[in-house]
Formats: sequence, C-alpha cells, structure tokens
Amino acid sequence: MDRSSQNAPSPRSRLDAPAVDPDNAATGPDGAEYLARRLSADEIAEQTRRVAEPAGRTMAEPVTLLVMQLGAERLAMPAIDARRVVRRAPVRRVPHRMSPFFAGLCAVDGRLVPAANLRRLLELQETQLPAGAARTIVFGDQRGDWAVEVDRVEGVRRADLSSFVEPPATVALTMGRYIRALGEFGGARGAVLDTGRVLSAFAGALR
Amino acid sequence: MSGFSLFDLFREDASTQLAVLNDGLLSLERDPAGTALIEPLMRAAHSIKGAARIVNLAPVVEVAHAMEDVLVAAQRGQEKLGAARIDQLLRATDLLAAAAALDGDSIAGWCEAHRDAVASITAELHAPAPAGAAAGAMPATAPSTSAPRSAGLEAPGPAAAGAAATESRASAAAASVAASEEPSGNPGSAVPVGPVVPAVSVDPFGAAPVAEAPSARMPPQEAPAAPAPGGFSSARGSEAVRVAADRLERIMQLAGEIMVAGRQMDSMRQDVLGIRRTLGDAEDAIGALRQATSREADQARDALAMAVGAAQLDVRSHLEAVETLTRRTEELSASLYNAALGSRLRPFGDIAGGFPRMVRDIARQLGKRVRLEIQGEQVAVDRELLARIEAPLSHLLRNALDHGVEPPEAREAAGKSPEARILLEARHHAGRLMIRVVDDGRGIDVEAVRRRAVERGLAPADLAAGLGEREVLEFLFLPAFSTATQVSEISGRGVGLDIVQTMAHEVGGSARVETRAGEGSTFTLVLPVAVSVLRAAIAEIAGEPFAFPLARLSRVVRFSIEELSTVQGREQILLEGRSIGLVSAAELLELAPARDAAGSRQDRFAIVLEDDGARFGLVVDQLLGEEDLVVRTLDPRLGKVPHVLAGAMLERGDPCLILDVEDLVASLRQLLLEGRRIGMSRADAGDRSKRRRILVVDDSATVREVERQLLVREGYVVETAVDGVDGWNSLSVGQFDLLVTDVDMPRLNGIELVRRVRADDRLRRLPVVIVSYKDREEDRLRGLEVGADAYLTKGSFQDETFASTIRDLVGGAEA
Repeated sequence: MDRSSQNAPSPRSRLDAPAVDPDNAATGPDGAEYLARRLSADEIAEQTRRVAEPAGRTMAEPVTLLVMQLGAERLAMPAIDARRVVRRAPVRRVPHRMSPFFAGLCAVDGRLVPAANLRRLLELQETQLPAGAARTIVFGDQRGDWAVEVDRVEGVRRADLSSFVEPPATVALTMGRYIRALGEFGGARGAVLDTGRVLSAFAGALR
Repeated sequence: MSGFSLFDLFREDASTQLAVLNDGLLSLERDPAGTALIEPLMRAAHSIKGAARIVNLAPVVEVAHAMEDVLVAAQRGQEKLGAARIDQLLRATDLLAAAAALDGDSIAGWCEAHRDAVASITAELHAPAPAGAAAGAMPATAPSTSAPRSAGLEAPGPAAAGAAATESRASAAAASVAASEEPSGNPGSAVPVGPVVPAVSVDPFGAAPVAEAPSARMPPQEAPAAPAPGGFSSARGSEAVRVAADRLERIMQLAGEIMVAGRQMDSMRQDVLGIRRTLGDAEDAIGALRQATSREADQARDALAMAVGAAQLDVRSHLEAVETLTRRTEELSASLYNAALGSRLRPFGDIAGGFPRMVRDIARQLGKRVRLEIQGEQVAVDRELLARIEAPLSHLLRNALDHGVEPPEAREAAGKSPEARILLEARHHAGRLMIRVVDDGRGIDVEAVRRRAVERGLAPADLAAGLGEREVLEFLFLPAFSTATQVSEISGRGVGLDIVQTMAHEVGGSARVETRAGEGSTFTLVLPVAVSVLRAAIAEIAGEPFAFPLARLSRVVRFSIEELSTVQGREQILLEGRSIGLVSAAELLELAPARDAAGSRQDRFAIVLEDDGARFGLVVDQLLGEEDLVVRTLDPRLGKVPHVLAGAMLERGDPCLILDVEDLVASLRQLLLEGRRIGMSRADAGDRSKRRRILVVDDSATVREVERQLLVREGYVVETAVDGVDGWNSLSVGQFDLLVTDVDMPRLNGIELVRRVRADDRLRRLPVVIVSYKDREEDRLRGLEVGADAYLTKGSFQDETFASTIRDLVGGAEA
C-alpha cells in the first residue's frame, strides 16, 4: 500500500461522518472535511465550554462558521449549530399549516424535518444562481431541528469575532434582528446569523 | 445487553414463565385429567426459582420451590390438583408476578413487607392438598381465604347458594391447612389425598359444587401440548431480545433509506442501457458507411467497428453485472426492510394471554359462569398498537362480564346455557386488524341509553328521539357515561368505553357496538394492522403527493370533464348508476394549486370515500401509484394537523403526508350539512362570510356533534376540533367569532386553552364559553378566572341556555 493511499481519508471514514452526506456534502473542501471529521476530545470540551459560557462573551473568541449564500447576501452560522448539509431536498407543503415562514416538511437522512423559509424571514430577493448549487442545511437547538434551503454553501471558515461589528441600525430594523454581527471571514465580508433568534422565529411560525 | 441488569433479566425471564404458569394452571383447571400439562408448569416454576436464586431473591425461590414440589407430586400421581389447590398455585403465581414487577431498588422493601404472605402461601403449598376440590373464593373479595384459619371443616352449604358454598369450600381448604403443620418439603414424600370430602367436579366460575360426572373419571386423554408463549413460532425462534425502541426506529429509517438507494440503482442500469443503445446506433452507422467507401476508409472503419464492438461487450458485461447487483440489492434491501418491519410485530396472544385469568377471577367474583374463547392469538400486530389496545380490551371484557353476561339462573330462565360465552377475536380483514368482543348476554337496552343521554343533558329530548340505534349507542363511548345503576369494582363508573374509542381514534381506527336484546352485544374495533406501516394509494393534490390508506378507500375512478354534471350547483359524476358528489381535495386541504397543476387536463381522478352508506368523491390532480409506507409520527411542534394522520417517505425518497380519511369524511359531512360547497361561487362565499363562525373544541365526538348541530340550527358556521391542541391550531390559522370548549381533554385541557387565548394579542378579546361535565362551583370559578365569558354544564343542551348564551355573547348568526 502506498503512502498516499494511507493518508487519504478512506471511503468508510467518510461514510461514518456525523454531519455530511458524502455524496451531498457541502461544496468547498473545507466544509466537507470539517463537518465530516470526528471530533477530538479537546474539540468537544471546547464546544461544551462555548455552549456553557454566558451569552455575549463568545463574540471575543474565534469561532468556526458554516458559510452560505442566500440571494445577494453572504451569511454564516456557527458550525456547531449545523446538523447536516445535503443537496437541496424537496419540501412538501402541510395542509392548514402554511404560513409565510413555514415551508413544509422535507426528508433528510430518513427523517421528516420541518422546513422554513429563511429567505422570506430575512426579506431577501430570489436568486439567479444555478439551482444545482442549492443546498439544504439542517440546524437547530434543543427545541428541535429545522431545514432551510440556501443558494450555495461555501464551506466552513474560522473567524475571529472580536473584529466584528454589530449591524447598523438600518439593517437592524429588518433582517438585522436575526444578524449577530458583521465582519470578514474566508476573505470576504458577510453577516453571522443569530441562530437562536432565527429558530425562535421559525418556532413562532407554527403557533 | 450491557444496559440490562441481572434483575432486568430476572424480570424478563419471570414474565415469560409466569405467563406459562397462568395459562397452564387455567388449562389444568378446565382439564384436571391433563397430566401432560403439568410438565411445562414444573419447568416454569423451576426456571423462576433458578433465576430468582441468581438475583438472591429468597422469598421468590421459596415460593417457586413450593410450587414445584406440588407440581412434581401431581405429575407423579401423588396428588390430584383440585380447584382449591389450583387456587393456591394461582395465588402463588400472583405473588411471584408482584415480585417480578418490582425494580431492583424496591425489592428489599417488598420482601420485608410480604414476609408473612410468602410464609403463608408456602405453608399452604407444603400442606397436603386441600380437601374438597371445589375452588375457594378469590382473595380480593373474600379475605377469609387468604388469612390462616383454624375453623374446623364445615358442612357444604346449600347447592343453590353459590356464595355460601364458596365460603364453605374456603373453610374446607383452611381446615386442611390447619390440619397439617408440617410441610413435607420433599416432593417425594406422600401428600395424603384422603377421601375426606366426596369428589366434586371443578366449577371454575364459582357455582355450587356438583357431583363429579362420570366423564371426569375417564382415563386422561392425550393433552394438547402447552402453547408456546406468544405462540408466534417455536419457543426458541421467538426468544426475546431487548432493543431500545428508538434504535429499532432508526433501523427502520435506515432500512427505508437503503431501499430507496437500491431503487436508484435501477436508474443507473437504465443509463447504461442507454449507452448501449447509442453504441448500437454507432455500429449501424459504421455498417452503412462500409458499403459506400474506399479501402483505406474501410480499414479505419473496421478498427472503429472493433473498438465499438469491444465497447459493446464491455457495456453488456457491465450491464449484466449492474442488473445482477440491482436485483440482489433490491432483494436484500427488501428483506432487510421486511425484517426490520417484522421486528415490530408481535402476536396478539402476547396480550390476550392474560385475559383468561382475568375473566375467570372476575366471573367467580360475580358468581357467573363464563367461557372465554380467544381466536387469532397468532395474528401479527404492531407492538406499539398491541401495547395500546390491552387496557381497552380489558375494559371491554370487564364490561361484558359485569353488564352483558347474566347470572346462571337468569340465563337458564331465559332458555340459555348457564355458562355464558365471551369471544375475543382478532383477525385481519381488508387490510385492517379487526378485534371483536362478543358476548351472548342480555344485550344493551338502547332505550335506557337514550333516556340516560337526555337525563344527563347530552342531547335535547327531541334530538335524542330522532337518533337511530347506532347513534344512540355512540353515547356509550362518552366519558363518564354509564347506564349501570350501581358502581361496582368491575365497571359501572362509565370509565372505560371512552378509553376504547379514544384509543381507536388515536391510532386511526374506529370502535362500534352492535346489540340485540336478549342475544348479546358485539364491540368491534377496526384498527390499522400496524401503526408503523400501511399500504396506501399515492395521489397528487395541488402538486403535492398525499397518501390515502388503501383500507379506507372505496375505489378510485378516472373520469373526463364531459362526464361531470351539476346538481344544485354541486359537481357530480355517475358511478354504477349512483351519483357521487365531488369535492376538490386541494380546497378541502386549503392548498393553493401548484403553478403547473393540471387544471386543463381532460382526465380527472376521484378518490371515492364511503361512510355509513354515503359516498364522496375527492378530486385529485393525478394518481401516482401504490406503496407500502412506513408511518412516521409528525414533529410534535406541528400539533394535530387537520386531515393528516402521519408522515411518511415515498420510495423515491420524497416526504409525503398520510391523510386521515375519517377526518376528511367528517369534514365533508360537515360541509354538506352546512350547505357549503367546495369551490363555491363568489356569491356563496359572500353569504358565508356574513355568518358568524364558532369553533367547538371537545374530545367527545358525540358532544361535538350535539353542540355543532345546535349551533348550525341557529345559523352559525361551525368548525370543530378534537382537543385543546387541535383547537389552538385552528384558532391560530382561522378567524372565529366565539370559542366553545370542554375542560377535560387530552394534550391540552380547556383551562390551558383559554389561558393561551387570553394571553394572545390577536385572540384575547375572543368570547369563550366553557361547556363541561364538571358542575361544582370551584370548577365554574376556575373557568371564569382564566377568562371564560360563560361556564355551562352539558345539561345546558336540554334547554335554551346554550344557544341563548351564545347569542348573548356574539349576537345572532348574521354578522
């Protein structure tokens, strides 16, 4: 066996990956590799510490972001909140339950996951990007998971949020409610979503 | 297995062996000569003893050992197992069952608390067989039998006085216990079976002892083999392994995914097939070229032809490999899927096994003679469903014993056999699981039910008078409805039948009762075979796939626009000479048509639903086929979605919702009663929008219907919801002028519902009327404190109170 094949990730290890369907992995090598990796004990400890620490202090720490494009916006969410990234999964409407933000149900990994319309929540325009690049991201918290469709997933990027700024008032009144900070990551500027608020808004769509 | 403690294993083992003991002892009681039945009982007692010894449960070891001694003596012919002895053995079995039901932490306390009981039953078992084979009364109702007694042998009471006879038998048993202070402890030591009392036949139902019939002295016939526990297959094959339910669910999901992936290989095969065709075309082109060109070109073409030919061979070979692999993968994935599915199924006998003992005990307690027949113990039922039907079936059997079956004397006076028959039958019928509880008792007094419904204020007298027998019997399924004049320990509180119907509805089934005066009653539950899988027709509605459970469809028809006709503004088609009213499924489900929906298609499809003789045609965009669907519970955050039973994934991997046909039919009926049309004209919509809308929330179908009819009669537009969550969901998406709600409801009760309404900005001014059975002042105050505008009891249906309260709050029906 040659050295290169020893070093390359085996197909089996990719199949065992917890977060990314190997055939439908997020575009961008970093995204696939990052989400597909096994967490070390240090990483688990670090993520546990982050989750447990008081709100507000995480802004000063470097974080790992899942970067995506929706309409003309470059958005990101803490990668720790993302469960799965797969090719765009069809969403089926649910009778008597449709609302502006609730899109229906989609099937991911053999599960039926409520799907929400992130574009409409953020009041973003329809995209002109090729449909083949569209991805479904499943993310959530202890209240449950949601699936959202985005136009493209760029990958996973590290960012130091200490240099980030809060969104300006003009933005804060609209989509800014769901934006935690603005800044540069992966060589370009973008907005980091406040996933807690986004998930609360989705939950509200079902009430 | 690492997740299970030794005590868990003991409980597993004991639970299996206790079922063998219970069943076997009852069989022995029916067939005292069946010595072949004793062997499995000995093994069961021995197994429990061994398992208990491992977990150091000395009292259980002691009792099981004593049981084993008695059984060994009986097998050797040293003791005859009369009814009194079997009573002792059953009591010992109960004691073991109580121990096996405990958890590891509480067992020490239990042992301490039951030291005397263990000593008592062990002493009884070690003592010689009680003289007099007739059985004693059950300890639950005759405590005298369970306490040590020192009374001497009493003469048997009069034959006709069952209770007295029972007591005398118990005394006889006690006398025997008292007479033998020295337990033998040795199975080999003879237990005297003296002819102290003349032999009597066993009457398991507590009737007076009868001199033993000659036939009972006949040499023992070959007894049937004891049934294997569960009876699904051989004892070895049905050995249980504990698997966490969520893991099993995950296996199911993955098995479904593999099946989907396997089917995608077929499309790959089709692609290779396409390449092969292209190569074939190239070969043809080369052949045509060869006939018309020069020698050099011929050589080039030959080389090309060879290359194409080789490619063809390669493709052919690959295609065969792909085909073989596809077939194999499909077979394997289907097998895996079916195996995973099968792991969810258990035989009906798993729960039915406990019923003979229950029936026997209750029958004796009531002084009745009853033979319980169980049919269909092997019928496979989803384990989740099985767990849910046990309590309702128990209620039905108790009900039959207490209310249905007459005492022996009354039966004889009516020309019936003194022994009543209750049949518990499970079978698959038309893709559904049908369970019937049939008794040959006195039947239900329909007029008494009708009177009681009026007395309880559940329906105005004029409305009740017009109800048919089937509708009247529906009242029996209401909470706290009972025609019994006395509350007994067995039944009569009215608790139970509503549980039966609630369970049936929750799993997508139905419950009904039929009765004939003097001949008996039949309760029928029609349930899905599995909560987890069903065969469904897939139809497209407003561009979305929806599944209709096949078992609930009457048929599917294809028709053209030319076949449509209109009667009173409603569309209909003729089918086999009968008119079928058509309703748009998309509009009923409130789904806007998809952009590319086939509105201009010539051919249409209608799913025909039948209910109580009425037929409805639900118009869908197109039919997509039939599939077996693994039923998935919808995310609880969605609440109860009207018209939707559950979710599923189609073979191609798409999500799909399974429609609730009962709910659809109920909505259709309501729409028709209100004179509404789906797809109505603007004028109709205008008329309707002028009428006030009321939401009725009640978990009882009958109360909902009574309230709805009363309100519709007043001219209101009424929508209904089946519980608090359903009601809240309806309020969230709909516009209403008033809410009528019950208090006691599953998932979200009426008080919480009103609290939510009052806390919601949009709904806080909505008038709310609570209608409840609870009529105490504190209940009324509680309702008003959370913000209800009025609190009525269900007796208010009898007079104008209900309707006038509504009018006072919102005015008349016209907005």
